[in-house]
Amino acid sequence: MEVIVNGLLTGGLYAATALGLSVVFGTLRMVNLAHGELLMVGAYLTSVLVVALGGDPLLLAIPAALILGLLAYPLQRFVLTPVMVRNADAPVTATFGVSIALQSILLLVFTSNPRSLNAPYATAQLEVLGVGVRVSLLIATAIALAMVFGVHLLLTRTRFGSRVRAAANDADAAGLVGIDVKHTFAMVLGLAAAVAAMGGALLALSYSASPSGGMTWLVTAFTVVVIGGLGSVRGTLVGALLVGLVQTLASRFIGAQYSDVVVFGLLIAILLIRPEGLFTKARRA
Amino acid sequence: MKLPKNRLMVAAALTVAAGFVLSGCASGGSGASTSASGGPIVIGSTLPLTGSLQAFGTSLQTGYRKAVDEVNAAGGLDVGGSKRQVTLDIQDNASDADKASSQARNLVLSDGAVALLGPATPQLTIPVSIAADQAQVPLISTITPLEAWKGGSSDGWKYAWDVFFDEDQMTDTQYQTADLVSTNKKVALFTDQEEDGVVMGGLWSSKASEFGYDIAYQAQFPVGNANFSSQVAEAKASGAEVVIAQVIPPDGIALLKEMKAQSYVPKLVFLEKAGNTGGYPKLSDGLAEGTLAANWFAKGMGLPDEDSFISEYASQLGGVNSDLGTVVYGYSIAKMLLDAISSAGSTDPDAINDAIAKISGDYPLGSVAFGDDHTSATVAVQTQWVGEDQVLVLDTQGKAANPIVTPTAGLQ
Repeated sequence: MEVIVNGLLTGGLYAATALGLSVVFGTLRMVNLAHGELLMVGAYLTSVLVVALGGDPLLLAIPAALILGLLAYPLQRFVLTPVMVRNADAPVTATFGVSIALQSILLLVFTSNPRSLNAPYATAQLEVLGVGVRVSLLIATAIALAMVFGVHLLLTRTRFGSRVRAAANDADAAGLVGIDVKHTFAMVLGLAAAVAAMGGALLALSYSASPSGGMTWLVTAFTVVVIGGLGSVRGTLVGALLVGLVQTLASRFIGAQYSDVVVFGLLIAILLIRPEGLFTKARRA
Repeated sequence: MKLPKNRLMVAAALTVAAGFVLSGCASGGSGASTSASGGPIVIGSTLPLTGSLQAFGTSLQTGYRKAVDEVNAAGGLDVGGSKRQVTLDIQDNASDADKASSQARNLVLSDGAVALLGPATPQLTIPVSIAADQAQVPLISTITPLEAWKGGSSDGWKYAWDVFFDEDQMTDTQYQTADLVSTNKKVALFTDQEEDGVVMGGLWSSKASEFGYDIAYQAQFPVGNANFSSQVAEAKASGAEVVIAQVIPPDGIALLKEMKAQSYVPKLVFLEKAGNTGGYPKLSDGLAEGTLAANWFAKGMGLPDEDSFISEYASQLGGVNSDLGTVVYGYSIAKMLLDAISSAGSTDPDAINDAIAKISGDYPLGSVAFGDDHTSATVAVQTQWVGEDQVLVLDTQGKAANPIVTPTAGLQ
């Protein structure tokens, strides 16, 4: 029971770290290879604010998220969208370049040493019905749930969401009906970066962050998003819980050295059975 | 502007796979100097000045530069009766093995390096050693455990040399240190799947009974593992009072956080590799306070120039720690190479290589004499994190030095 609960809570953290990738994937149709670095930048930004201002890392993750969101807006507006217009495949390469650049900046500013966010609850444990639960993972799961439902509501129940969906479905048509597609796309990356910053702060609270750690988290997020279904925000949550659970069960009963084999085996199996992922409808012809 | 989702997924998968293969692009400049007779002598080095091994690279660079600067300040290196300036040509390999290998070749073929100074760790030193052997130019390396390095050449190295501790001796030190404390002699092993993790994990396992210890729990995990919840629970359930872990620094913090969350406070926690990061207790918000790590330098080892290196670099490097040891080792191997060039009396690579084989003497890292296998073993000691310093607790003779603080303070 303890393994299952801890696996699901680990999945909750994975949801927080994968949500930004899912949003970009689902709306901009873009594989954001800089997503892992956005997580790391979020963690480091929060760490800087904690050192500079003092205070709770979770509270300071909010301004860190705003800062990263503001920084991401012009990246999409003036770099990625113009690249996308010229060549639909090019943004993937561009985000790879952004990933390398961000990693290099982190290394130059903070060296290769890891950073950890500390708070009394970061290493605290609660006993719930006889099961030891790590408080930081409980918090991460709660925040992930809030972010998933918040983003889902934003994209499905607001005028902004309507504009995003219209622009994602057909940018040219959306432009003709007066939607500022470039601004909308930039807002989406800003939102995804802000969400990633929160995810980065949460992972640095439970574990640690390092300039070169982005790739590992990108791969986990990518697995979550593909299993959950491309572009499905709710699918991201379910995919994350599944990945966390399977990984923790595999670590416990087979050995941590085989957990990646099991998780990626699951990914391949799901791609074979349901290539569109668990929560995305198959494309109509 | 739209991509079909299946195309998108294929593109994504291919690009993520490419991401594993590719690495950092930063690189340093290179001089275009040569070592023509009478001109400056070029010594090349490809170092991890960025990337995950940056700490080793920057400390080695400090040591190399110190040795070269001293020679140049004294008027140059005496080669065959004439004083010649030495140019140190350093390039940044961004902790990437392929880049290190190609840079080593370029340093010799394009920049005219007559000899090379190595990067750190087997993952970088082995490819650079292969390049040196192929180019037939001598290379001296350090911060690379000997057995792993020797395993990089099936025929034995010809132009590459390595000065560091031997894994076999190093993996004794954890048990020798544990013998200094009263424990139930149950050990939990946490080793990652990097080459050194596999090698040392095997050695700790096989040696446990020899030292009277029992491996009560053993976990292996991929590098980058963050979720240690089930492993720590099992280690705690096993009742192990000694934890020996071989992990990279971020994974070490994740492990310590999980141990603290589960109130698992072993009497001794050896955090190898991760614990050799300067300022690790601070980086881990105090969790690493009281953890132990094998080391190659500490105050009280009785090494030549120990105090002068401490007074010159300790404050700059945040304490007496492994980074300072890496400076000492970098300085020492650079001095060895300069001595070899001087005693060879020429910049001919074969003459320098022969002179390296004959090195026998004391350097700041200790006594050096190479064997037929091109290695010279130093002695690993054990240190414990106390504030900013790694304090010597097991000396070069395998005996007690300073008292060990137990149980692990950072986990209490």
